[in-house]
Amino acid sequence: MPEPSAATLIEESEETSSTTPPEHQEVRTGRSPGQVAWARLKRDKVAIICSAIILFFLLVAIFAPFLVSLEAVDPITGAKADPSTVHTELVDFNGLPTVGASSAHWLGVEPRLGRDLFARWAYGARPSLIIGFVAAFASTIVGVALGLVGGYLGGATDKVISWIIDFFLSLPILLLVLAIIPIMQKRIAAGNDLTPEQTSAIRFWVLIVILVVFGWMGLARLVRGEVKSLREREFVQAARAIGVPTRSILFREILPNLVGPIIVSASIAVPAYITYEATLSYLGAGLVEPTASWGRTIADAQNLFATYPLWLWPSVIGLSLLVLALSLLGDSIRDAFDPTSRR
Amino acid sequence: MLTYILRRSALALSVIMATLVSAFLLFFAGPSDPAQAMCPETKCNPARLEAITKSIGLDKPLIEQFLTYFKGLFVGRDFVYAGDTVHCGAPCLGFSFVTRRSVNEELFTRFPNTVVLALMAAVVFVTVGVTFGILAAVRRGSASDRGLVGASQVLGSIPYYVLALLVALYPVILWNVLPQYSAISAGVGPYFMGMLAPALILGLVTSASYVRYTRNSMIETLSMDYIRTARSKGISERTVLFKHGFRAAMSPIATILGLDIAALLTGTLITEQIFGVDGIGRRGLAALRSFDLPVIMGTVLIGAVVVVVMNLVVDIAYSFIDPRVRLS
Amino acid sequence: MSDKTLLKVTDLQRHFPFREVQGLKMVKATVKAVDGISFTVKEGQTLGLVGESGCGKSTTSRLVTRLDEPTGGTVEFEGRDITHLKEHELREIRRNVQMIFQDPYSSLNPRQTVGAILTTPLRVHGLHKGKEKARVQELLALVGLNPEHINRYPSEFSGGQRQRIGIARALAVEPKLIIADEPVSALDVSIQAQVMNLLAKLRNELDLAFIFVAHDLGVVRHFCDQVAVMYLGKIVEYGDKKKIYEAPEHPYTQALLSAAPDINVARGIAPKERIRLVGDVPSPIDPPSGCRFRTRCWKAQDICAQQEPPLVSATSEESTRTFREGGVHLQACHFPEVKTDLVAEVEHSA
Repeated sequence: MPEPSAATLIEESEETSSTTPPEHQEVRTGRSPGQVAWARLKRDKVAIICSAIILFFLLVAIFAPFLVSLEAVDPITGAKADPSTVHTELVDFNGLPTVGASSAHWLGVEPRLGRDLFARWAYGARPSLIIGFVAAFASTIVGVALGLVGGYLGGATDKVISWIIDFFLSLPILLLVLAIIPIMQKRIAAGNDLTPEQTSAIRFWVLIVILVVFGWMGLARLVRGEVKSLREREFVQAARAIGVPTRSILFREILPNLVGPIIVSASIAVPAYITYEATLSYLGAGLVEPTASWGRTIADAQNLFATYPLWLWPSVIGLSLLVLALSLLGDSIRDAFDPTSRR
Repeated sequence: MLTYILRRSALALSVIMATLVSAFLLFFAGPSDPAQAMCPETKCNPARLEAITKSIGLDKPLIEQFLTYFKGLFVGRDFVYAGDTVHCGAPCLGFSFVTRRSVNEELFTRFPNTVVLALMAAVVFVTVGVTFGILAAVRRGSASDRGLVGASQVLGSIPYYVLALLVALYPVILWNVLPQYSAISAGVGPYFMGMLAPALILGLVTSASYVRYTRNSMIETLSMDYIRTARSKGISERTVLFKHGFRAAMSPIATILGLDIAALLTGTLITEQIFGVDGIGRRGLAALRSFDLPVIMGTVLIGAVVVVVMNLVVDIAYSFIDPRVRLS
Repeated sequence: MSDKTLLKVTDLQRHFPFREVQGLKMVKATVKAVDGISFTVKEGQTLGLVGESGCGKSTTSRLVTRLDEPTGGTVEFEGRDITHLKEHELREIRRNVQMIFQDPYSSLNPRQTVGAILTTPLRVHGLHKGKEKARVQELLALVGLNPEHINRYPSEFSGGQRQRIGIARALAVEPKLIIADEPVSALDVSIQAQVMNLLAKLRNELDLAFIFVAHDLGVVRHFCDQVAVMYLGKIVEYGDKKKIYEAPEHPYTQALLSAAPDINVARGIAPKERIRLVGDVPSPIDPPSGCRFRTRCWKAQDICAQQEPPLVSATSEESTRTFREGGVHLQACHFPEVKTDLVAEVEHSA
């Protein structure tokens, strides 16, 4: 056997190797794909404007009590405004407010109940944001977990999970959710005498649970498909050959490769859930009084939209702007992870 | 091929059956008592409550209720009402607890209104979506392309019900630019004119995603080698676009169209409610408020069947186009 | 090189059952990817596993590394039966048997730095505790990479460099046997030689045993001690390198050998005989009866369709010679015949 000479390293010749596909050329700077996406996002003007809008609403929600405290003392009631106190002395016999927008009530007061509309609006940002983010987070966990398990294990487990995904995807979800929410509410509240606040709180969490139960399938399907193809990739086989335990393979080898699609999916889910909550509240199965919610306010205010537009429009603008900013940011995030998607 | 259709149909059937069983358990085994809801609070006493419970069959064991319901779906069943026996033919969805009319009558008479709304919306979103999508693809990178894509993103991002509500409130109710909905019994002309506003807003908002689908599909097709070959042969740009590009670009759009039927159903539900269109979505929502379980069940079932059947049709149609699908 | 047997594979089988639809019936069928093969690898020895794509050589390497479970036969490593061991029982095997993969672009996790990729095997087996970084840099130097590149991502390396990282990963656990599944076939020809030289150097320095999988006889020529030629899930010829290259007996080996590119052809020295195979490899779902190669064989006769030729020594004379020289040479053909003139020049490199 002819003895081969010791390896001579000509790195330069390897650098020009034509086996390097073009997409590997641009990332030569020692950054992970996530860092590359982040750098792209920071250069995206739309993303920056949207982030500013979202930040604005986050601040409104967090500092709602402080913002409301900036309103002047009402000369008639002699009290500071808050979102829940009813002031029938501020409305006439037809339920129309007797006071307009003023330093005490920046957006006037609510017809019929006389509650401060600015306080209702500022506090109304809270349930939208909490439901949007909590439901998106929870459904991402569920979707990723089921997708990982189904895609990696295959076999009967995968068949069952796929069937459940198909099943949920073919349900008329809005109608079903509308029907289930009051039923679940009754089941939880059965036999207890609850205050309106307690009922409202129960409804809030029931809503999140239902949104998650009916919202995980898209991501699960995506993750399952990706895992099925990643599982056959040689780096997973290499990890198995080394003896890396299955759990580590899933979480350390496969999952990091799915960070992009998962972040994109979660960022698109947030506005979707906020929309869903508002739609449900409008149709009568969402949040209930006395919780301040934009969706409920829109539903109540539509009856007086012509005579009292100040009731309707702040919530319409708040909801639309927040959901629009979150959606466009989601689109920007997707473009940052996959620049070819916007051509 | 036949086996694929059978296998796919069996899957679809299993989904429908699972929907039926789980919906039944959810509604009929639930804690909500429809008899209580039907019993007027001022005149309600235990005897009357019991009579109502008995008359709508809620006193029987759950399994018996289910079997009765199941049998009704496939062979029909008879109802005894005010001394008369009323036959309800298959697929019998039961009798409304509230109106005491058959659910079939309640829902199927309203179904055409929903279908008309969905079809009119489909005409709007397919024409608008595809036209603007192709326009954007052909003028790729130009200001009009960016404007169209941006507008479709904005339109598709704002909560649909807010847009629909604003259209219903301002142009229709306040300014009377477009007529309000009226039943077909009031005349065919006013009926379709009344459908215009809901169909337009539903169609326009849905078209937002189709502008982007069509644009991307068209751009992908136009970058294919065979398009370049066609151009290099000197074929007119018009022929290249419509004869070669358009056809290939449309097949993915057709698939998405079939699969979007679930989203469209959700859209009609909201639209019907906001514009007062007397369709099954609006009827279902009304039934929710009075806990009229058979009507809710019927609406959910019809919705599930429509979605499952549409998905099935798309899958089978697609397997004719692309035989690889059958093997997976 | 000792005489101790490291790996013993006996009658190894891997059948993939699947259901096929014929008309309205579901028919159960099997793909016989590997259908009863036997071979041994001794300590420090290199076996070449050669065959066209679809012959089962990659499946064999997955079975030997126990990434897949055999449906029949046995795999013994250092005398221990590992054929059906559970994943947690395979720990020791995972340390001793490693794999180098074909595609340097998919064999490294794009989301991990080189350091993380090479630390994983150390951590899993608790090696070099507390000094992992030093060991990783040592490994990088061993395969001819800059130890400073420990924090780079795979995308920052070329194909040849990535394959070196893959080799370093296999070496990290200090294995006794490495299965290299076409480790250079995805690389440029100029890089192939460098990586092959590296593998040869490492084998000599670390006294490793190798199973080297390749799809032609050209690459393995200077690297292997023994060669097994596979066709449709079976070994058709198995023997010392010298025998296979200089005196092939099976028509398929002869065809492969004659197809191997040869520098002397370019120089104008034509081989005396060229064999061109016609047709495609038949489907492993329903392989030909008798001898599997008969559908493409120019020597095929009736007996080839009726009887499967066993893997035996061609002649009694041969077996005595085998005994005398200590070499092995088995083949599976009803009409074995030595051909020596298939290569323009048997040894061409210095």
